[in-house]
Amino acid sequence: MSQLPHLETDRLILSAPGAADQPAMLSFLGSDRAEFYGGPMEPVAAWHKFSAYVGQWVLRGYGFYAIRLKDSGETIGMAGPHHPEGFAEPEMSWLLTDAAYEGKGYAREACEAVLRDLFETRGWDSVVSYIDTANAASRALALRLGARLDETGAPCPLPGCESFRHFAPGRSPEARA
Amino acid sequence: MSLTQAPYLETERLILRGPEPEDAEPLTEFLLDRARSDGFGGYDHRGDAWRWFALNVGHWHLRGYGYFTIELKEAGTPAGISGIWNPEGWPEPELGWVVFAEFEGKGIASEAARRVRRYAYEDLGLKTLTSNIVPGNTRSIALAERLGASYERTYQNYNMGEDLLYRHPGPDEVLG
Repeated sequence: MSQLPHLETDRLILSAPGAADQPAMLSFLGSDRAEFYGGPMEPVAAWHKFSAYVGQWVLRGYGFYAIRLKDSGETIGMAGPHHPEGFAEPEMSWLLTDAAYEGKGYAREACEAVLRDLFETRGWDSVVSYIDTANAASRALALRLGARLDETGAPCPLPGCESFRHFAPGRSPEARA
Repeated sequence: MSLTQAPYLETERLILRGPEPEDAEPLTEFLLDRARSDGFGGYDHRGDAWRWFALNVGHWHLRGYGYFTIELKEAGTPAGISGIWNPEGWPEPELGWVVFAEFEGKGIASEAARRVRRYAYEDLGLKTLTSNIVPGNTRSIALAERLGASYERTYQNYNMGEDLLYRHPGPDEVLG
């Protein structure tokens, strides 16, 4: 367990999801908030899905981080490159498990830390995000994170979504031109 | 990347270790072979089979136990899986096993399952163990009986439908 991924920001701790994050994630996957993730689903299906998110770390070497508040330790969401079989490339995703955590900049803070890790530590050039066209908040966050609409990658594998692409500093098409 | 705290177990001919990325391919091949993988739910798509592999890794992380990969000491290749399985919705912890097609008939499942059962009682401290077998899987039923397990009841598994529950001898008998 020595290689557990771990990132920190001012207010957040990001680490590979574990049993402590299970109640919050099962509650999220059982709620209407999880529509884009195949929800709402029964606890059995939710456990399987969450467990597979965790397992992706071993298969790919990267995956979703659980987002926890430094102060209270409570789990508030997940963020990270999601890459199931069938996706042409890893997809930078994020979610907050409950509406009570919205509007505080937590998702942005978490995503910035994850993107920094992908670009600076892992050396990725870019990463895509598939965003539900109906999810204005996620679209706005993608743009604030510096992503732009992407027509270069494989088509979005999910219905009703658009592809956005985040670029490492100096690696956008303009910067490379 | 090691998220699983799986121990490294040995028998005369086998190594039992945590799942590694290189195990995904042989396991996927097995899971997509519906005639043989019904006891694991049976899968039609690579994505589903891949997710089962990821699920097993997550199971180790969340439960602290799961399916080991069985490796032949001599060949160093994955020959099957055996472990303790208890995802959400399962009746109780189960001792499971499967040997990939080309490794059948060599007593590998039996050797692995005996070692995993000892681990479950000695190291995990479990007090009882079951094996859940789909009706008609005569090979697995025969092995369960050779391991000393006996039929207890039939129940509805959320994934596989009608399922036979066999109960193994307890720690006192197995550990002597």
